[in-house]
Amino acid sequence: MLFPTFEFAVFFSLTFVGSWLLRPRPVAWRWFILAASYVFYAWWDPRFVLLLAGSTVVNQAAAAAIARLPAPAARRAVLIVAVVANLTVLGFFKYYGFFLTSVTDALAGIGLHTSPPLLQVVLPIGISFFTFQALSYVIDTYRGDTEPSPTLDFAVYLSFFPHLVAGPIVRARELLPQLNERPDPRRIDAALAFRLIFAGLFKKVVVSSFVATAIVEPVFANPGQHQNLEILFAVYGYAVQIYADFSGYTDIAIGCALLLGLRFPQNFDAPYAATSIQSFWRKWHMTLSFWLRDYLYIPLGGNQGGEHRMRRNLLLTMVIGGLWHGAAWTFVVWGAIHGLALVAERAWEQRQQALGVVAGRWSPVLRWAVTFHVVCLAWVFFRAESFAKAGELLWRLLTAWGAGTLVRPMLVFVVVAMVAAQFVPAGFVGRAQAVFSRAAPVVQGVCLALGLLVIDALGPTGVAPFIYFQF
Amino acid sequence: MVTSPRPTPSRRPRTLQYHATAGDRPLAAGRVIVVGIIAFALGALLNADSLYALANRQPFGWKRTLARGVATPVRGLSHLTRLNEPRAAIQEAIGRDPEAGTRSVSKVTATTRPADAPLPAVRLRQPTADNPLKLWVGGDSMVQEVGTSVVEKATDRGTVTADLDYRISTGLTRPDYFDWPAHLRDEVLPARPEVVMIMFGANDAQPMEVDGKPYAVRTPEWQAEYRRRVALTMDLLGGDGRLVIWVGQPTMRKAEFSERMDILDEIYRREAARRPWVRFVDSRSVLAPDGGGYSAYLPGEDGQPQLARQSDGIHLSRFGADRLADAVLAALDKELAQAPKGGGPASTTRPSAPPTTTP
Repeated sequence: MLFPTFEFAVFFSLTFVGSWLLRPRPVAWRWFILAASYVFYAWWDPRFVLLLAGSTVVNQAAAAAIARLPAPAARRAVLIVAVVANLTVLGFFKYYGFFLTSVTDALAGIGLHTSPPLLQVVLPIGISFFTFQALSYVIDTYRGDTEPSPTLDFAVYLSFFPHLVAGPIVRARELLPQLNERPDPRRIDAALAFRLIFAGLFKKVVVSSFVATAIVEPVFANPGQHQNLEILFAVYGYAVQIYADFSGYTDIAIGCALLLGLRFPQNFDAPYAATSIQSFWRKWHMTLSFWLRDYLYIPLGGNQGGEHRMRRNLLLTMVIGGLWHGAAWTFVVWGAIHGLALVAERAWEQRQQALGVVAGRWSPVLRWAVTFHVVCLAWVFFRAESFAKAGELLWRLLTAWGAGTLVRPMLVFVVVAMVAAQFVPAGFVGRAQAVFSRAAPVVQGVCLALGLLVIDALGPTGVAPFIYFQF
Repeated sequence: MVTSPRPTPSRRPRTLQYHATAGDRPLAAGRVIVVGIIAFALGALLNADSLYALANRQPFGWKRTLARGVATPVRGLSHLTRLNEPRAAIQEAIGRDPEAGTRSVSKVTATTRPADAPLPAVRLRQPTADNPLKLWVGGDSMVQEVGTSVVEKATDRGTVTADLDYRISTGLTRPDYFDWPAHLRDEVLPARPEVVMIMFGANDAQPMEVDGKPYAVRTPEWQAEYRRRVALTMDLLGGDGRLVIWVGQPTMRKAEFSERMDILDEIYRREAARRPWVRFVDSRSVLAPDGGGYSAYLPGEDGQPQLARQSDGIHLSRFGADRLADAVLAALDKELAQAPKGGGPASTTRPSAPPTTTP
């Protein structure tokens, strides 16, 4: 069930009413939310629910065992089994074909021809997200950062439908305590929720769809047919498309959770306003980057052990982060570009500090431009279906001089406006939100109806799946 | 169950303290419902044409009947109060048809050629860089991949220009959603393409309305009507010496779905065989070369397995699309091989019997 559909509007309306009616009865409310979440997930394929339920049972058992066992060695053994089990399931569904074809190709390269047992494994939607959430729960329990919760609570936490298929990746210690709270049904942060939901719908339905069809899809499909101005705007356009698509999804997810009285962590914070790659990763898909920091970078050693090891850890974390996004070497290169950029940026800053260089007046502008274009360069590999296509696109960007026909004023306006919007002060939007929250219900309803009008009239017929569903 | 008072923001993890709501007035759940009802009710009236089109797009059956039963009076009220006009104005301003999808078209609107009309023949010429061959590639979402491959491979030759025109979720069974014959007649043929590659079917194995009554794919009524529409489309595309390459459906992962595609493929094959200007490309022989069933992987040029299908078991991967594109271009090359040098007519193939389709 996609968010921007009639089915989801009906589903969420019923869930909203049922949730607040049952909120005074905590156990019934939990069962209700769990059932609603499973219905939401089963909408894609009922078989996936078994996997989700299985993940719930196994990880809850592991967390309970870790909390119960006194011996550190035994606790560590359970942790390792749980981590391996989670990664095996994720690896099978997501990387089976990629792994086998990569190995087969490598063996063929040295003259060994094999016939591997290839299967086309259907990827359960959202598996990367709920697997990472389950891992964080088990690891946090091992670290003593969280206590094992009742099984029903954990099941609700893992399957809660707003974050289930594409995040944000909510930590156990962020959501589980909220399940035990009794939110006041007279105090819902509805103005913020409505703002997020409508902004998300606009970004996904209008902006992402428009940019995708206007330039990104035709240029990335056939770069050989396009001139370099078209290619440049296709790359900028993809940066806008993926931001509008993914941040749009998480805005809707956060807004829906808020209407149900639960708060998710922020996932985007004007990432294209970043003036360094490090800053970008504190603003882009924040819940993933913090997850990778806490459960991969720091266990690898983090900043400890000297500059060389720190650089290795940084690069490794970003490459694995790239692979998390998809089973293809292009994603690995995307992660590697970010990792190398982080390493280079750190080395540059250390050098500047050692030389005592003071940042000039135009330094932030220059840093922003470099950061944005490094991010855009990496997006080329993220979006391209092969290295050959990415190479052709970049080559023609440098050599195929011409304007083409796809770069039209509306496209330029949308791309520029979406990037410029990241520099709009949050206070301005907050004031508009506050005014909305104090308006009469009729005025609020009319405002939202006008929002629906604009989104529907400007959006395409039908809605494409969210990009991040495939991850 | 432990309950506690609503925590203050400062007690929450830092990651949850975002988005200023200090100036906001929280709403009660009841008031949220009132706001939601107003928004949905007014939004439905403002977008009534869109809702009606959405209802129309549903597969024939009780769900569509119910959806239309709800959407029709809403649309009537919207038009009565003229609340549909802002959306229509926006749609017109951005160059769209505000009535799209709201017309009750259950029959294809194009008509086939008269029985006594001259019979089309393929007359291709040898294309050059200065005078390239005009290729048009279209169809449903399957064409997104294979069409991209065909266009890329064809234009790489330097003697072909190509237009790609695929429409997701379309086909020949639902002209109320997208009327392909009308689109071909009004938008495609006026540009006088010399070669047309077309592929439908993946969305067509659904109930179809014939004379106001819905029929399932396996019924004789459905198949007779679908055959008529395929024949009509093929006839429509014939003429001006144009070559039509009609691409069949590949084997699908789900057996039941694949069996329905068998029915469509057989119709395409038979109707193409009766029209000398149509070449049927059997994608099954390309994507399951051993005559076997569905195969997600195919051997690449180096013999190593390559993924040929997308995870839905329907669409093609780029590798699979490239493989099918090679077959399409081979069909084109076979015709071009007979084309005279110097741009004259390639072949004047006369059908042994005239098309027998009727409007």
